[in-house]
Amino acid sequence: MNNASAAAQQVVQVAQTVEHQTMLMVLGITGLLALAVMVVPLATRLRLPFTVMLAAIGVLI
Amino acid sequence: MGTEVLLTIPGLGFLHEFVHALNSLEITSEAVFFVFLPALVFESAFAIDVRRLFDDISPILMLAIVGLLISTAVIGFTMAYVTHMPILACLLLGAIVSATDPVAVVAIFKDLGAPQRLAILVEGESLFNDATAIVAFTIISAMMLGQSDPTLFSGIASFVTVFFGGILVGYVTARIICVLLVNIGESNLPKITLTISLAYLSFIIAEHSLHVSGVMAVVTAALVLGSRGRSVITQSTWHGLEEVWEQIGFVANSVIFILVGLKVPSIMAAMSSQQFVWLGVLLLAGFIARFAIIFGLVPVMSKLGWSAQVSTGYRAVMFWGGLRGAVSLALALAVMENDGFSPQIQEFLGVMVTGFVLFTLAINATTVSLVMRAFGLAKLGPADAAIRDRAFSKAMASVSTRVQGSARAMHIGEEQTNQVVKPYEQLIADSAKNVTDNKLSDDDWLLIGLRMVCMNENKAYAKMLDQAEISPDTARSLFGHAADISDSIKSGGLDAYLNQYRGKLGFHWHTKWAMRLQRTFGITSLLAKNLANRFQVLEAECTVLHELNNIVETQLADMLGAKTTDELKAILAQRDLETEQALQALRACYPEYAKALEKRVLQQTAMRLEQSEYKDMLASSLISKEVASSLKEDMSERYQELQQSLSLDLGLDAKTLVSKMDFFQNLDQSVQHDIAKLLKPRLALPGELIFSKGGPPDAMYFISSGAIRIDLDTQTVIIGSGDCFGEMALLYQKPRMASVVSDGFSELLVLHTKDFNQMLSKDPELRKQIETIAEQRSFDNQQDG
Repeated sequence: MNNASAAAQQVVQVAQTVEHQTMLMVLGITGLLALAVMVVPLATRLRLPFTVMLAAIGVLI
Repeated sequence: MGTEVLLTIPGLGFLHEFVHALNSLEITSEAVFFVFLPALVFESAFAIDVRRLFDDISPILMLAIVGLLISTAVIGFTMAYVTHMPILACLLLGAIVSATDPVAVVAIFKDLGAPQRLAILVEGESLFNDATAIVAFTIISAMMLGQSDPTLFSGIASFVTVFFGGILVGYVTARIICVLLVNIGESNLPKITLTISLAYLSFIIAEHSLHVSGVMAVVTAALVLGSRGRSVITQSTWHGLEEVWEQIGFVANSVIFILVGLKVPSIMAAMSSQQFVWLGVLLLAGFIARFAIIFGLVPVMSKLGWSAQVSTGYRAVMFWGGLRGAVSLALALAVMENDGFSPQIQEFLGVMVTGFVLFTLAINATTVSLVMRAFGLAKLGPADAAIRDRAFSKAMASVSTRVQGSARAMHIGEEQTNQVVKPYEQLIADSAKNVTDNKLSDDDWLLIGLRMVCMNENKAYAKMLDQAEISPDTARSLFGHAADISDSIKSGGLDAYLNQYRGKLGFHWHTKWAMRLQRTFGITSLLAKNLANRFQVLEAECTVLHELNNIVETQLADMLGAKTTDELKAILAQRDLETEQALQALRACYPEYAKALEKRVLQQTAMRLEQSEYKDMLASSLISKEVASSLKEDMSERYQELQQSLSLDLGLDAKTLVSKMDFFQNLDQSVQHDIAKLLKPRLALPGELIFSKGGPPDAMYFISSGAIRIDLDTQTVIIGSGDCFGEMALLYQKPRMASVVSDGFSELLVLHTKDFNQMLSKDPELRKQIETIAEQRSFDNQQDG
């Protein structure tokens, strides 16, 4: 009985980890895109290529 | 450190989680290759004007293939000499850092309004050299990992197979997708989705399944879609497609460059002072190699006549704008993830490539605009500047008048109105001075006008395709014609324009090939398809030429001035007349098809009018969406006939043609049947030489329909339906006495010498009839002589 409950707990933990990882991935990509969007006006104002600014932001993070 | 302190502030947990999420996003070479690369390459290639790309394909391919290999060798041998690293590792480094990335430079070009040709040279080189670099990388890595023999021959053989194999895969995949695009229905979304599949499928099939160049496959697929797609996709879908791909490109670039930035500190942290010196040597070798290629190879090609001249300014920008980006970093990552490489080589390549990419991004990308300005590439040429002045003058005059009108309508006081309008009056006076000061000649303005007309012509065909007035095949021909005519203005001015459109009114190699197929094997379907397409092309051109005349008068006249407008109208009127004549020749030969075509055009107009009625009713809330869609459904059922393509019956059936001819009317049905077996039907095109004077007596001809011109020494005789010619040479076994040319489309029945003898021996009546004609003609000729 104890073994079964431990196994069930393990399954729940694995599911939570996967869920957390997926959430982190979605958060990472969408946040990264939001960041990229904010770089656009900054690059225009500083008269720097957009991709250069993106790489610079990446380094700073 | 500062970021870490900031993140400890309560409430910023979300930010902490975000940074953690970003750091947990692991960028792998596989992710770059299979997720980002197809999208980035497809987006770049799709946005390129294929015709412009092919204008400069020689220097582009030379730079992308030979240039990259030279650069790989220069960097490889220099680095091996300086660092004492294995030569293959250094060549691998050379291949990786020789792949240029145009993203940053092209964005700068757009901002500064750089010449289109320069952008195409830079983008084109980058697209193709990405493929070359990846192929070279794969071959050298295989040699390093002991998977293939390090011989020059095997290297070249692999390169050719992989490079051209990729092109083939891309071409085939794109053609299949183009067929699907035609048959997938009206909706935009499935079509756009299909192009996304095309980018990834072509890459994966090439790279993973067939082990050929995935990048070349994607480049080719995008170029094929870019060139053929316009004739199978409506304008609105095309705009949607461009926007979606621009969006995909933006997302892919954003993700990849930030992730690359995240990776940089960890790679560069391991950099030693010795590696710093090596990086300096690498940069020097890379720039010297690129300088030698651009300032050595490109001018040599121009001198040999293999490519058009590339100016020094363009070459300077191409040299300094050769940035390195995603592809180089992805290839370096691939080495760093592969345990087959020693840790020393992994570190060496990782540091060197990252340093090189960072240098070009930080230094070249930020200063390339200075190079452009130094060579005057960031400003408009004299023609564009003159157009700009006239456009500005026209706009200012219009704005001033409309502002005053609005002020009256809104009851705004005179004082405020004057305050707003006065600056415009000053601008109008200044711009009028600029307009009169422009140094362009009347000829220059005429060429500018012709170019504007060509652009409008292209748009008019696109509109016709959108409204289903022309088929995709016809649209493809028309777009090709318009582009060729537009190109001719650039290369040879007005004369080239006139020659080009007259050439287009003639018959092309594919029609001649179809004729040969019909004459040799009796296959008529291809010829019928060709002539039907010609019919539709000429009909559409006539319609558009009428429209263009109106556009010149109503829209372009203000920009071009009265004299240029009159000249343009005269040129268009002449072109319209010649096109109409070519169409009349076809109409005379195939009146039934002409009627069917006209009926279809009217039906399409009716369908469009019905559609716009429903749209207006919906807009005025007279009907609901449900009612509108039910009405449209009903309408599409009624117009289903329009979905089927019209087929042209050439009528080249010997039995029918014989029965129609007076010449054979007196003969029995059975004899007519026997004669039909001996006669070979043949269609002669307008102006086609049937035979020339002095030629061998190999056949005689019966005219079923059309007109034939016989050029005798002293006169020209026109004969028509029911007549025959070429019989004298056969009867008297003498060479041809005159040249014979088809005056329009003529349906002929050909009787070869052997069959002629057989037919005349069987039927004395027919023999007598032909001999009488021959004697009469011989007598007439002697009289005239």
